Amino acid sequence: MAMNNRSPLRARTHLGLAAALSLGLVASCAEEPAPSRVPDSSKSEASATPGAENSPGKPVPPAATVTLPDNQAREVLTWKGRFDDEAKSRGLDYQNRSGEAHKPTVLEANGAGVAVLDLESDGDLDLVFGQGLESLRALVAGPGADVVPYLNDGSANFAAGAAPELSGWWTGLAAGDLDGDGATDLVVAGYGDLALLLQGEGGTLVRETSPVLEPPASGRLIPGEEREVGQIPLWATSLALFDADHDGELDLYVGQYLELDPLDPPLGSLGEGALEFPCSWKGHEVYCGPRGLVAQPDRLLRGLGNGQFEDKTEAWLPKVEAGYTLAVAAFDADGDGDTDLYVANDSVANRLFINDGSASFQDFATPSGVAVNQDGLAQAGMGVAVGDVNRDGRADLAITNFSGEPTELYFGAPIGFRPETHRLGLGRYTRRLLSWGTHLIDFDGDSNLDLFTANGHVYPQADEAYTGTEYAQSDTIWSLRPGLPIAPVELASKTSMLSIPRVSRGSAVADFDGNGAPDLVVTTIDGPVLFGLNRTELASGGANRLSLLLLGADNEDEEAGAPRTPREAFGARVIVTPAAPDGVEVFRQLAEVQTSGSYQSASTPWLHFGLGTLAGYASIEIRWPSGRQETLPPGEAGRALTIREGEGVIREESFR
Amino acid sequence: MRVLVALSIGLVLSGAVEAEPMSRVRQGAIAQTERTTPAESLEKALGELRELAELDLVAELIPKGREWVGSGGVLAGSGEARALVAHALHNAGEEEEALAILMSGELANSERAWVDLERVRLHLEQDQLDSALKLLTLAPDSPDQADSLALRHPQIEESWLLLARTFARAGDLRRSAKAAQEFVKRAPLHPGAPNALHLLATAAVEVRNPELANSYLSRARELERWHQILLARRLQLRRNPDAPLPRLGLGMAWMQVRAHDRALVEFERLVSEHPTYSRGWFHLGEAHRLKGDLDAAYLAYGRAVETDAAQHLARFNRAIIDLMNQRPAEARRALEILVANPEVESDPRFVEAHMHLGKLCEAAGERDQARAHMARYEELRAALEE
Repeated sequence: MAMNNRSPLRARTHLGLAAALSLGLVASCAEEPAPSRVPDSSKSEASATPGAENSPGKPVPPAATVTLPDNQAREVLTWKGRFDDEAKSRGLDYQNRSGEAHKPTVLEANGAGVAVLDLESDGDLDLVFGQGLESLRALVAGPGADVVPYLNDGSANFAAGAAPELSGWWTGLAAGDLDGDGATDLVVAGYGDLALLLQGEGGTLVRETSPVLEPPASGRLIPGEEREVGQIPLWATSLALFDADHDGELDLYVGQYLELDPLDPPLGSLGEGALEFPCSWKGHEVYCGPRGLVAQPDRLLRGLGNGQFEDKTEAWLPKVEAGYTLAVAAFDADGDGDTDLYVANDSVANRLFINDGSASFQDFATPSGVAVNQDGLAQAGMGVAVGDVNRDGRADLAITNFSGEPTELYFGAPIGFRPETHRLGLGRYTRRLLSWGTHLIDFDGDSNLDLFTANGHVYPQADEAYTGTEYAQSDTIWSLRPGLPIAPVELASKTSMLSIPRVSRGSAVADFDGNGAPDLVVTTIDGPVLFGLNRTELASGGANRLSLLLLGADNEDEEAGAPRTPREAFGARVIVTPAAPDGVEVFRQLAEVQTSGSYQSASTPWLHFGLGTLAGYASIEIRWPSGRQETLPPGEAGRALTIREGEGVIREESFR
Repeated sequence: MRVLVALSIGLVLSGAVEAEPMSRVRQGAIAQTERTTPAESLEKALGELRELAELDLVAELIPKGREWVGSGGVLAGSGEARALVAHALHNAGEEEEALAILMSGELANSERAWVDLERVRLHLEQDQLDSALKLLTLAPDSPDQADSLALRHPQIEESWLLLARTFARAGDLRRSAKAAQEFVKRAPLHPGAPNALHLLATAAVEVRNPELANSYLSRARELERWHQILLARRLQLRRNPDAPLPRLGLGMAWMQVRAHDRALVEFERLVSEHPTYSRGWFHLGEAHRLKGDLDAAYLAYGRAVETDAAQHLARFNRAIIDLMNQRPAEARRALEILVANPEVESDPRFVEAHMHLGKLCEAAGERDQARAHMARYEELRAALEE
């Protein structure tokens, strides 16, 4: 699709999209790059699959024709290097509290998320964790919990930061510059509260009153304040900051879960008398919900640029049934230059809200094939990851689910999405897991995306006989190589963070130590944080990597009403083309600047690319949300580049 | 016509129940036998396993199942039982034991089908689509017949659903839809029917027919909701087997999908266990009526009124049947009782009581009374329309 610089995005037409929309379908107008494999001599060692697929230069068959051979032994990839849990040794002494051990209510089972953001504006990535209390009763009695910040010294050693003195039960987080001062702020979701924290001097987070963001009095839970049965708190879960209307300011999608009365929660059963309905799972009594409890509708708030919001739910979101939202990811689903939303709901259909360019959203999940699974069943929908797995220039989706349900993988297609879960063998690996936080990112730098899921059951009763699963589960990484079946990854190190069964929940990725490799931070229920510094290597040695931080142009001179790129460039799309020898075609790697996704967490705004053994890139193409397109000339890998719209690279650092 | 219309919208009847018909109804409702044959024991055991599987009560199913399908067990020769137990074991992580139960021992050919289908399910769980397809279908006689796959066990309806799912997972939506269509035709109320309808919807989207897709999806959602209600009622019944409400709810759930035979089974059992439960008798009457057995409905409605004089719907419906069967005196008696109660008289459901009384009086030559009833009927009808 050819575009003039700065042409208004809405003026662009695409026959496929118009035709598809007229049938209620979604089309993608992304380019079709010529697919081919980056020659990488390490591949023959890493892969146990002989055959033409791995020959350098040979085109990879489209995924649609690849089916997992039934008699193929389960291939396991062993990565060199380390990916150990170093939380304690690096000062991350966070311990999650999430209610009583036997999990009498669903609130106590859902856990907290984590946000990555630069506090102190020193270029290092810091952490803020949500937090709960020892019981629901404790929340009502007060005092409530605070969120928990940690400051990075630049080498991934952390010290506790100044807490903002919140009091509540905190679930999801989203980070972005909301007041235009260049410092990243935080929105924190909770049970009975939502807090806007603006970053001030020295990285301090200060709560700012935000009448539109915060629940009304009827939905607020102030710990220690008297309340009556029947007063139902608003329960916010995952948040997504993104620019819905191209005005350069971040807007906010608030995912909301269900009605739970803290003074009278359902315990063990719903209904009364002869019509009492046991809340059970595989014959064991468990907490009630979400089915049988009333879902709360999500909200969409327009950012005003000064830290405040305007409620645009009615104007921008279609009237859809409320759906127990647990996760939300903002991304350009149809490649038309604006930001759409995927909303994962618990036990009911998921939503794909397609933006028409003017911030009017419609749900196209059903015609796009991503509402329910292939069997027509709604699944638990805990976490969402976005990435271009098969390198066709279209966004793909991974959605984590309950035990007994696979983690779903959908590839973007010319219209909608195509389910790939079972064809690529992900179903068999994931059906016993209950998964939450998730990421599609290249951990080992081999130029292919990997899939990470943070795993752990909701029911302690999972450890009882005959459930077929466990409460504590190891987190998992799978290698997703285009045209090949999925392969689980093992780390050679016995102390890797993948070898520790925990009850994980939220997760975020970021490069905390500046070596270019994305690291992982994972929250657990009632336990410590997992913090994995990525020191994986390819068989041939360290992979070549490239990290990009994009910044929007200074918008002061822009004409009023023209599309603008947000300061942190949320929504910018980047294609990195690795530099390969003549005659060898390569996979162009697509990534989008967004920090939402996973579960109740916010990841780094940096984009991380693996180039395998290739030493550089042939080009970096950027499509800014303002409509501007830029192409950067070839360069070397091994660097972290900061690129400002219209100015090119304004800062570069070599990886440590 | 008015009477037929009234019946079709679920009118209520009332009337005395004759002793003989009442006892006949009673006998029909009692589903007990003094002695069970071996075949009945087998069926009972298999029924128990099916119930445990459908309610996902694996902690009960597995120990019982192991004993019953083990060597010498009462269900050792049942392919279906083996399949149920193997499925539960596989889901519980006991994959080797599951396979052993499926593959070991002798089974009659007629029972092998269940084992084959369970193996298909296990293949699907392992993403082994080729193996699933091979086990589901017979090899074509010639290459040009490759498109028309023959099912190995077409007599078992789940075969069609498994075939549909296998094709869908392999990306062949056209063949998936064909199999799904066949399944829905054979088993429209099966718990897997929403799955099949969804696959049909997906195929409809693929060929850009959104109206058809939406129609399938709407049916799928409705059926899925219904199955959830059914499951809830069954769990409630299991928890409170002596309470009438869960079984009443179960019967009403069957009525919702016009499965009157199934509903009758529940209502008959309900009134046999709770003979003074008037709601049970009323709904038994409804089920009989909708099945077309007005005599049985009449008796059941009569029992409803006998056990509770405030069963106005039962009394009214019974009066209508009296009218249809040329019993004007009985009908008139019932209708006069109804209109004598001010609350009932003004209830929109009974507004036609005055109309019927007017006609009865007219036929009896009581013109003044007839006019009074018709005037009151017009008055009530006008008030309703406002």
